[in-house]
Amino acid sequence: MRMHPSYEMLRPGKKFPHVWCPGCGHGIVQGAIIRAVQKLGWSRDEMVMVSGIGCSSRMPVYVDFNSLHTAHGRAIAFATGVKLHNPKLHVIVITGDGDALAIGGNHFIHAARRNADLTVILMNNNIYGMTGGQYSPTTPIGKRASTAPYGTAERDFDPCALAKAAGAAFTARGVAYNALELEKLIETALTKKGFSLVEAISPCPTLYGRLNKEGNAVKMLQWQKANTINIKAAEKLPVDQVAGKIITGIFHDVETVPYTEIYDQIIKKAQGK
Amino acid sequence: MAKNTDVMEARLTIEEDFKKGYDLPVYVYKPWCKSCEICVAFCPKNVLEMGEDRKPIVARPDDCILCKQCEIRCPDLAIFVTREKKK
Repeated sequence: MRMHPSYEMLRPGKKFPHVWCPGCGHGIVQGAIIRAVQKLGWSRDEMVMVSGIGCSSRMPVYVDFNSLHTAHGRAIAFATGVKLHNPKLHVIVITGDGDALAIGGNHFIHAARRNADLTVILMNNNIYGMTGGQYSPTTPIGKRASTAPYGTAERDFDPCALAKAAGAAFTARGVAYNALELEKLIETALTKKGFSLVEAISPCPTLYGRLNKEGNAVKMLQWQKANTINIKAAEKLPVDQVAGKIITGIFHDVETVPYTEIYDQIIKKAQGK
Repeated sequence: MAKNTDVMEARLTIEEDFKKGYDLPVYVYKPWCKSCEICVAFCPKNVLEMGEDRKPIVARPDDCILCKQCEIRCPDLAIFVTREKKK
C-alpha cells in the first residue's frame, strides 16, 4: 500500500492539523512545494526555509527543512545572509502579500535588484489574514476588508511586474486551484540561478471570501478555475477577454549571474588572488 | 473534536489500518481533516461524499481512476490515493 508521499517531509513532533483555516489555499501551496522538492530529489538537509510573520509564514514550522522564522517582512534579508554564508544551500523564502510587499517592501525590491540567489514563494491571499482581515497591498481596488468596509480606494500591486522591474531573474504566477502547474513553476524557480519569484494565488475563505461574499473554499477555487488564463493562451486573446482574469505561467526568465557569485569574486579580489 | 496528532502517530495509525486489510483506493486520515469539502467537490468521478461526521467517505470506490486530484488539493494532507496507477 502507498503512504502519503508528503509525510516524509513533515516535521515530527509537531501537532497537526496545522493552524490554517479549513480550505485555506496555503496548505495546497505547501503540498506543491513539498512535491517540487521531492521531484528534484533534494534532501531535507540542503534545504532552508525562511519566513517572516503571517498566516503563510507558519509553513517552516510544519515542513521539516532547516528553518528560520524571522521578524515581520525581514525574511528575505535573513535568507540573503544564509545564502551568502553557504551558497550550496537551497534557500526558499515563504512570505505573504503583506509581509513581502508592505512591511518588507524594501527588502523585496532590493533583493531583486541585487539578484540574491533565493526562491521567493509569495502566497497572495489579497488580505492580512492573521491579524483580522485588514486590506493589504494586493487587495484589488473596490474589494472589502475589515479596515475598508466600503471597499478599498487603493490600487493593488502586481508582485511579478514589481520584481521584474526591480531586476529579478525569474517571475511566475500560479493558482492554488491548479496545484500541478504551481508545482512545476516552483520546481523551475528552485533550479533557477538568481532571484526567482513565484506568486501563488491562494484563497482566504475565512476573511477575504466572507467579507467579499465570494463563498466558501470550494466556490473560491471554482472561481479560480473559471478566471485563470495561461499566459500563452492570453497572448492570443483580445485584451477585453483577458481583463479581470488571473494570468498564470512564466512571465520573465533570463540567465543572470547571481549575487553570491559576484560576491565571491569580490572576496578573491580583496584577498589579492 | 479529535485529538491533534503528529506525523509519526498518523503514519502508525494508517499502517495499522493497512495491516487490518484496508483496501479502498483512497484513504482519509480523519484527525487531520477540517471538512472543507475540496476533495468532494473536485473529484472528477464523484467517488467521495461527505459523511455524517462531516468527513469525506469513499462512497463509490470502483469509480476511482487514481488521478490524485483529491491528494494534491487537500490543504491538510489528510487524504491520499493508496495505489499507483498501472502503466
